[in-house]
Amino acid sequence: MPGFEGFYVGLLHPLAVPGQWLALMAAGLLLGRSGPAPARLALAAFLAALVLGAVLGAVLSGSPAAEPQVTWAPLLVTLPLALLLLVPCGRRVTALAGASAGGVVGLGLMPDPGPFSAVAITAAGSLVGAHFLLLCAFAAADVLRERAPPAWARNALSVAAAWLFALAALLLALELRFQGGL
Amino acid sequence: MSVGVRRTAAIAAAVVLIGGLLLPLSAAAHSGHDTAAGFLSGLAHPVLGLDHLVAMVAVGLWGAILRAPALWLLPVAFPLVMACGGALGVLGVPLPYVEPIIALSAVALGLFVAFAVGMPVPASVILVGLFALFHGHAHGAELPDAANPFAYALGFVITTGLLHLSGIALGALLRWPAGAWVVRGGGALIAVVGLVFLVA
Repeated sequence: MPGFEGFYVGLLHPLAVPGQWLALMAAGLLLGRSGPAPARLALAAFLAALVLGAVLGAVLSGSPAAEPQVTWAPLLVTLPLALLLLVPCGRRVTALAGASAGGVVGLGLMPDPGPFSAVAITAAGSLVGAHFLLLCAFAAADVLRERAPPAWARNALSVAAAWLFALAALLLALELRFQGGL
Repeated sequence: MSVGVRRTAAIAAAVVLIGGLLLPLSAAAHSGHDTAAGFLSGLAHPVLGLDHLVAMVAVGLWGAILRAPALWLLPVAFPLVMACGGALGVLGVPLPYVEPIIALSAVALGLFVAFAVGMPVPASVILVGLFALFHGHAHGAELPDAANPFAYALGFVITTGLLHLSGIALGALLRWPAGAWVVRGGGALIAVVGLVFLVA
C-alpha cells in the first residue's frame, strides 16, 4: 500500500529517539496520575504543542545549527517533568508540562526534506506514534491510580520519575560530550 | 547517649577507619567487564560487578529495616544522585577513589543491615546519595564506549532498580524473627564481600 512504509517509519520514530521517548514517558505519567478528567486540559495542550512543534520543526529542518537543540530539548524537558512527578502539582502546571513535552517532541518529529506526500505521511505517522506513546504512559499511571493503594501508586511513580531523570541526565551528558566536543 | 546512637557511632567510626586504612590499597573492582555495549551489557553490568550488586541489594534491605518513608525514599534518591555522578563520569570529570568507595558502600550498608542500624531519614538519604554519586560515576565512565549508550543506560537502570526491589522484597522477611536473622546475616555477608573488594 503506497505510503504505508513511510507512515510506519514515522510511527516508530518517537520510540527510536531516546530523548523523545523519555519526554513522552515522563509527560504521560505526569498527566495520567490524576486521572483522565483532570488531564483534559493537559492532553489538549500536549496535542496542540505537538502540532505547533512539528510545524516549527519543519521550518527548522535542514538547518544544521538547530539540530543539536532539537536533540537536547526533549532531554532537557524530561528533567523537570521527572522532578514534577515527585511533587503534587495543579492542572495549570500539568498543562504547561504537557505543552512543553509536546513542543519539544514535535520539534524533532519532522522527517528529512523530500517529496511533500512522503513527508506528510511520515510526519502523520510520527504524530500518531508520539501521541500513542504518551497515552501508553498515561494509561499506566491511570491504572496504577485506580488499582493500587494511593501510597504504592505514589511511590511507584516516584521511583519511575527518578529513573527517567537519571536516564535523561546521562544522555544529556553524552550529548554534551560528543556534540559539545568535550 | 542512647545505646542505639552509640552503636551507630561505633559502626560509623569502624567504617571510616577501615576505609581510611584500605582506600590506598584497593584496586579497581571493575576488571573483567570492559565490554560495555548495548542493552545486555547494561543489564549485566550491575550484576557482573559484585560490588555494585551487593550494594544495591543492601540499599533495598536497609530501606526495609528503616521502614517508610526511607523504604521508598532511598530507591528514589539513589538514581537522582547517581545520575549526577554518571554525568560526571560521562564528561570525564574525575572523582577520587571511585572503586574503593563503591566497595566501602557495600561494607557500610552491609553493616547497617547486619546491625539493623537506624538513622534519621535525611541522614540515610544523604549517605545513600553520597554512595550513589560514586556508583553513578563508575557506570557513567563506561557509557561513552558503549555501542548503544541509551540501551546500555536503560539496561543498567533496569537492573539496578530490580536489585533495589529485590532488597526490599527480601526485607519482607523481617516480619518473622527467623527472617530478621536471615536479613541481618545477609547484611553481614554483603559487608564481607565489600571488604574483599576493598582489600583486593
